[in-house]
Amino acid sequence: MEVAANPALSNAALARRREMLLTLRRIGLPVAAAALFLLVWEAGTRWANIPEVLLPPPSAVLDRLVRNFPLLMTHAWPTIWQSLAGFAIATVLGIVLASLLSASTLIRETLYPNVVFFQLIPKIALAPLFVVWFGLGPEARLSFSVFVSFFPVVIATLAGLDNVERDLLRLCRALTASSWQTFVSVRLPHAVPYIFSGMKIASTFAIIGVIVGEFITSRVGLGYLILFASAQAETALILAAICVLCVFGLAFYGVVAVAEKWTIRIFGDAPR
Amino acid sequence: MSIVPPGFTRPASAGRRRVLVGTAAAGAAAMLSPYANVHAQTPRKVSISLPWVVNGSNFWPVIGRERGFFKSRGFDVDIQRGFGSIAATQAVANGKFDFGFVFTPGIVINAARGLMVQAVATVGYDSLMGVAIPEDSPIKRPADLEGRTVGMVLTSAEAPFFNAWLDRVKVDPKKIVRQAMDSQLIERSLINKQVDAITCIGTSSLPLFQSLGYDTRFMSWAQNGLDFYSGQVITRPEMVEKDAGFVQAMVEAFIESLIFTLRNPEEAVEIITKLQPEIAAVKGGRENFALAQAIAQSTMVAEEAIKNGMGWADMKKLQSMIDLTLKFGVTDGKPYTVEQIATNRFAGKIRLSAAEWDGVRKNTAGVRRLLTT
Repeated sequence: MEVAANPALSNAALARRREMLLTLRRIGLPVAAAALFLLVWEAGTRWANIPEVLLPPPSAVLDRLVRNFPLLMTHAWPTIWQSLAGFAIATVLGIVLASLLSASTLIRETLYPNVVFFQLIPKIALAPLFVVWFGLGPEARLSFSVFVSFFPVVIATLAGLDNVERDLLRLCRALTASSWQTFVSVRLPHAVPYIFSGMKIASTFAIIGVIVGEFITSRVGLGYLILFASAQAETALILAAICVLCVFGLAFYGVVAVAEKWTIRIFGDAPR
Repeated sequence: MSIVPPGFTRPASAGRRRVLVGTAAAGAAAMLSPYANVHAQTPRKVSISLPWVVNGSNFWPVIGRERGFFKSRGFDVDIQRGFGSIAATQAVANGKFDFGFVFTPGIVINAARGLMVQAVATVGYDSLMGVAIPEDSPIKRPADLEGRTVGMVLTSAEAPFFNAWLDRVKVDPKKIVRQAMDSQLIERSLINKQVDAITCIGTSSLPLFQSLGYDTRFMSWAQNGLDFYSGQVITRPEMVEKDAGFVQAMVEAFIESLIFTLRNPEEAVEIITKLQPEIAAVKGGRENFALAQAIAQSTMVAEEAIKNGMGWADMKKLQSMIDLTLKFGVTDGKPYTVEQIATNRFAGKIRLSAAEWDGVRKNTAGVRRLLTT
């Protein structure tokens, strides 16, 4: 038999098969759960004869999604670019501030309590004021998105920069490395997984920030479309817009997760 | 006030009526309802949704609760804020509330989507949908809106009908920049000159402008034939079919509450500000509230109610509102008949005298200047 003739090959094949099954399971289980959920939803709304305006079946949402796809994309684009821009600004600002807090005791003592204080502000309540401060244009939504998504990056990055093993820092000192060299060679690589944890949270917060901003004031965007559909009692269109938002959010999160793997491969997986 | 018109008979059993006669001391209000004694010991819990947070145009059911007009009929009412007339109508249709006090556009839009409720009493005959502009604005007529930015709360009752108005005044909708705004910001956006005009419901926005000392003009859409009713009491169709006595008693309690505020507008504001001190705590809050009440009450003086009694609706007018909704508001909606969403079965049982209507006109005369261009 072939297995007996080449056991190493068969083991490799078995391992590959096991890996493939694991991958299938990882993808298949959530997909099956989602499919079952949609099936129950579809059957439930039809069986209970629930009016579409209260809870449309998934088929009606899909129908709206297909029929209004160009409209949905027109409104998705401003939401997407503002979310990406908000996320990028929040990430840069968050990393810079966390680096300053980590580098200087004076800055930390001055700013850190204020950072924590700002973290406690119910941010949604402030959203209307952003319009007063920044006007009706994208600046208001962008700044609110940054405001909402900025803190997770700061807190996570700071944790990463602070939690470097003491032995490594002692070694840097022994090697007479400058603060900048220690930061670039030890602290920052060590903080990469932490930074990406913050960025993953920020990626979802940035979208929420833009949508809330669009609820407050907008001329286009998925938030605008959701409000418009609410005014028309068009529940299926509301859910279709939310679907587009979820797909974008998922893809955005996925890109950040892939970027994390890629970055860790470059910097090496620093011990936590 | 002639609460019960001559010749009005109630669907109470003879035995119950004898009991009512025997307990005359229980008070006239209690005797009005066939429900009163049945539920005297165990009040029936009834939930009511308002269209929005309590304001001068919608607070009168709360006054009715405080004055005992519901309790005297055997009802323990729980009145909750709503999140717009469309959502409030959906909540009633979905059984989350027994009754709602909502704006007519919320009813006709949901009905166009196949969600039916029954309007069992109409209490406001002009929704006061319109465009507010600063007093010193160069916008003097609808055509001047072309090329301007108009702020609007998309979920507000008037928003779906902006195009209908533009069509009537022959203004190209494409030449107007629409800026969606949150309800907390809409008036401020006009004051801050972030927009050139706003669409609004007069009872909501005009009192706020006045209380802030900001003078505005108002282009009422009703003047261009876009006259929608405003407040209506709604319930589910099956409630009307299966528990008509209950609905009748509730409608009477609603109307009695409304009449109290029509007769005693200042006392009504006094009661609500004691109940909700935050109203008077904000700058101009009490004045804002009183003005909103006066504007809302000015829309209650209508031929429908004067001729046919309180709560009565003109079905032809309602049909034209449905037609407008299907033509402009919900263009892909399903056609339906006026009988599917409204009935006069419970209305018209209580009337105000001519002198009382004159009193309401007199009380609200001062607000008419706010409703002009």
